[in-house]
Parts: sequence; structure tokens; C-alpha cells
Amino acid sequence: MKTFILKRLLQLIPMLIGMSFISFMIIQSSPGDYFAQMKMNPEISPETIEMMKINFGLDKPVLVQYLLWLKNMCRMDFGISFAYHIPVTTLIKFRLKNTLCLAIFSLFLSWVIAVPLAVLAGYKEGTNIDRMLSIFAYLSISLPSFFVALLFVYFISKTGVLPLGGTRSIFDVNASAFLIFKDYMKHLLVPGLVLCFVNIGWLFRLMKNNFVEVFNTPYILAAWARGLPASSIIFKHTLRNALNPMFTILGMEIGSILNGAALTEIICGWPGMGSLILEAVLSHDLYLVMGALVISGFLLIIGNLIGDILLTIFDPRIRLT
Amino acid sequence: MEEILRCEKISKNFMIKDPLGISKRKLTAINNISLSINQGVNTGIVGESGSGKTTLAKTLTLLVRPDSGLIYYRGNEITKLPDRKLRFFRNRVRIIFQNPYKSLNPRSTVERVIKEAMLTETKTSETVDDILSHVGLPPEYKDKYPHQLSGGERQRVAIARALVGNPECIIADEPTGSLDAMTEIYILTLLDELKKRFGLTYVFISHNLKIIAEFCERIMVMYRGHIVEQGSVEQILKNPLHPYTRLLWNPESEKFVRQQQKYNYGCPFLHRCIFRMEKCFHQSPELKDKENGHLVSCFLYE
Repeated sequence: MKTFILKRLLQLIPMLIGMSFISFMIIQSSPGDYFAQMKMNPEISPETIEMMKINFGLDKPVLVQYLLWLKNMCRMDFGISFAYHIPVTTLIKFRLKNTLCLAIFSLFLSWVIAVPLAVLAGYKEGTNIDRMLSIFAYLSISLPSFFVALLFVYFISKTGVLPLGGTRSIFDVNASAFLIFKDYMKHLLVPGLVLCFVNIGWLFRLMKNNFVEVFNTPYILAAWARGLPASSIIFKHTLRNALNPMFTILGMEIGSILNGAALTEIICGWPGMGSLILEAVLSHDLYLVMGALVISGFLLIIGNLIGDILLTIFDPRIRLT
Repeated sequence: MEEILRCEKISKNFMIKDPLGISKRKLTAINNISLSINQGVNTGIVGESGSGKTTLAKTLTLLVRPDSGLIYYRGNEITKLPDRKLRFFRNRVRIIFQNPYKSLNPRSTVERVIKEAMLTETKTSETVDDILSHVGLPPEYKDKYPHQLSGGERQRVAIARALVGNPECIIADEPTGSLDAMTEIYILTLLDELKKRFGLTYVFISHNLKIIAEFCERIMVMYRGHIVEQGSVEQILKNPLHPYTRLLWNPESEKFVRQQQKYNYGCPFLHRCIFRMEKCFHQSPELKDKENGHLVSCFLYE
């Protein structure tokens, strides 16, 4: 197990280097750069722009630029954002915290809701409960996240039950930590519920299919034949086997946290990584884009690693090598 | 002879929907079957694939509830009892399934499989090791998972699981169906030993006549959900009456009509029978006693 984790973490290094190299080249070779807009401004002299380019290290050949960036990255220095004029690390740290909170909240909630409902629907397959839940699942799958987000934002702004936009309200200086946390959670609720709703549908479908598949296997029939109680058959025998493929799904979901929530974040005004990356790409903010890409690549690999580790813990047939 | 299990006129139909769910078709898996299983008399059920043998086995153990008819266990009717109240019956009448690759939970070790079977049994003095030794597996196998076992070993585990709590009757649904010839012999020898040792009664379902003839005292021949012939081994081996039984005994030499279309009326064997008469098209023959408990359902013998 330890060697497996170490191996996978070592695999991270060439992957990150390859990924960052390709994206660096693509961004650099795309037409225009961050200074294109400045050049149009008559108030900024060409000398100033040249100075800035030298400061940011953009006067050197592309390959050298990349190697310099790589060298700095090893010291956890992702460079300085062109647009914000602060270190990328500081910028990402703040945004990443928000996105992670949002992702963990919505992932947790959607799994906690979807899995029990799927077990219920799978056990009562073909009944009205199953049909109703399936209709709800189709709704959740077929409605795009931005549309749900728009509907939800509209509803919230009409009723005003929850705060919209940003992460905190305006507070007294000496507001207690608990109060701030409560306020943060309230702000989190709007994008969190939207993401949760969008996520539930296909999780439910997958889980229900897995459950029904396992529920119809001969070893479940054999369990009935031995007169085991229904609860033991459903939870101990069926559910545990049906959960196996879900661990892989969980790993993939953790990996897609950063890009998965982008649209919802933008519409709900949640200052997370999604909106940051979008802005950065649009304005050619090179180092910011690179920083965000490295973080999302890292999350992808860590997510899959977590999924694999969970799978080995729960499935005796799989041994890690 | 004490009677363990008896069923009276049980039928089971399945509704088959077409992919769009518009038209439904009724499939009769077992039709109007009455039989009784007596202590010490091993019963063999023969028939080709799709003749309803497995459904009959599942119905006898109430894993599938019959649409009509009654099932008695030692004289008590149990057809409609809920699963909770059937536990005593499930401990006494066990079932072994055909495919040992699928009938064991892939996440349970051998020990857990057997321990769990013990939980439903109140009076257990035997340990897991004892049970494993009955089926010829060493105690080291306790910690193995099904995927680490061979097909024969898995079937031994499935048999061990069925042995927990001293059952009186084991319904074996083609227990060697997915095993190779050598393993098949080992498993059959094992079943034979267990029969003598624990006084078990088997209901043996198979399409292999040799096994049935060796193993059982009574034979039932099934065709398309009907019992077409029933009798002791000698009666049926020496003097098969029903055209279908003769066909089963000697598939190469016996002549039969090669006709694909099945009739929904008359005798179930009508479309393949060379002896068919006018009468066979109009009514289905009933199972009638020919001599000394040799039953056959065919108009040839009326």
C-alpha cells in the first residue's frame, strides 16, 4: 500500500511537468498577450511596457521562460499575476479555499442524499416510489447547471431568504468567529445547493443500476435462501458490493472539482477558482493560468488516488501493486 | 416413509414484456405440478434447458412464490408465510445453486460465509473448521476469498454453507453444471458421502441422466413446465413410457418430428411427438398411474 501511494505520487511529477509544458506553449503561442491592451493605451509609453515585460521575465525565449517558471514552481513560487499585481499563490490560496468548501459541501450533500435514495429505489424497483425518484433524477440530469443556477438565483433574489454573491456580509469588527462561520455557510448554501441538485441525478442513476445489478445476482438469492434478514441482505451483501464502482466515480469527482463548478460559481457570484481561471485565460494572465492548471492537475491525481485507495479497502479482489 | 416436502398443483407464470412494454406474453414456467419428497428418497428432476427445473427448485424453497397451488412442509402449509416466519424451514431445506462463481459473495471470506449461515441457526455446536472438514477443505481455507478458489472448491464452500445446522433436505440445482468432468466426480462423491453421513435427502436437478440414475431413487421428467413422467429409477430406466423420456434416453436413434412451431394447446410435447393422435391436439393428458407408482401423462397409455 505504502509503495503504491509513493509510486503514484512520484508519477505526479512527470505528469505535472508534461501538462504544464504543453499548456505553457499553447498559451504563449496563442495570438495576443496581456500587454496587447496596454499598447493601445496612448498614456502608457512603450518603454514602460518593455520594463514590465523584463520584470515579468517575458523578454526571454519561450523555452527559457518555461524553465524559469518551473524552477520557481519548485520553490512554491508561482510568479506574480499580471492583472492583480499580487503573488499567484496568495490569490489562489484564497480562491481555492472557497472552491474546496463549496465542492466538499455539495459532494457530501449529494452523496448523502443520492445513495440512500438509490438503495430505496433499487429495492423497490418498478414501484411508484422508484418511478417518482427516477423522474426527479431525469430532471436533475437534463437541466444544465447554469440554468438551475439562474433559476435558483432568481428565486433567492425574489424571496431574499439567503444572501447572494460573495462569501460574507458586512460585519461589526468584533463579530464572533461562530457568527462569521454561520454567515459563510449561508453564502455557501446557494451555489452549494445548485451543484448538489445537478450532481444528485446521475449519482442516483449509477448507484441504482449498480444496486439492482448486484441485487439480482445468485449470491443474493442464496442469501435469501438461507433466511437472512432483509436488512442484512440489503446493506451488508448488496450495498457493499454495489458501492465498488462508486469509489472510482468519487475519485473522478474530486478531480473535477475545479472546472466542474465554474459556471455555477460565476452565476452565483461565488469567488472560487472557476471564475478566477476564466478571467485569467481571457486576459492572458500567464502565471495565474499556469498556477491554476498545476493545482487542478494535482487535484485530479490525488482524487483518483483516493478513489483507488478506498476501492482496495472495500474490495478484497483488488490488490494494489 | 416420512414426507418432508409436498406441493400440490403449483403453477408459476412469468409475464414477458416486449421492449416497448406494449404487449405482454405469458410464459408458463411450471404448470400444475404436484409432487412429494419423502425422507430418504432422493428425487431426481430431469429435463432439457428451459423446462422449468430451476423455477421448480426455487418455488419449492419459496424463493419464488407460486401463482397458485400449495406447498407443505411436514404437513404444514407454508405457501403464504412471510420470509421472517420461514427461517425454520430455510434451515431445514437448503438449496445449492448451479454456478458457484456467482453464488458466493465476492467480499466474504470462506469463514464469514459459513459463520453467517450459522447465525440463522440457533443450536450450533460445530465450528467452521468442522464444517469445512465435512466437505474436504483444510482449515487454512477460512481466510480465502471466493476469487482465490477454484470452481470445485467454491462449490465445496457452497455445499458447506448448506450443511450448517444439519438440514434434512438439500435441493441441488445442477450442482455440477459449470464444473469440468473430473471435479464433477469429486463433488458427486462428496454429496454421496454426505448423504450417508448426515442422512440427507436430495432433490437433484440435472440434465445428465447418468448422474440422476446413479444418485436417485425416484425420477421426474419435466417438459415445458409439466411433469410428463414420474417413477422409480428402475421403472423409468427399463421401461420409459413417454415419448419425451425415450427421446432423452436415446437422443440419436429415436425419431421425432422436427417442427419448430409450438402449439399453445393440447399436449405440451405435441410439436415434437411422432405418436401424436387427433386427441392430442385437443386436450392435455393428465398424469396417471400406469403401474406401481409409475406415472405418465400420455394418451398412448390410456
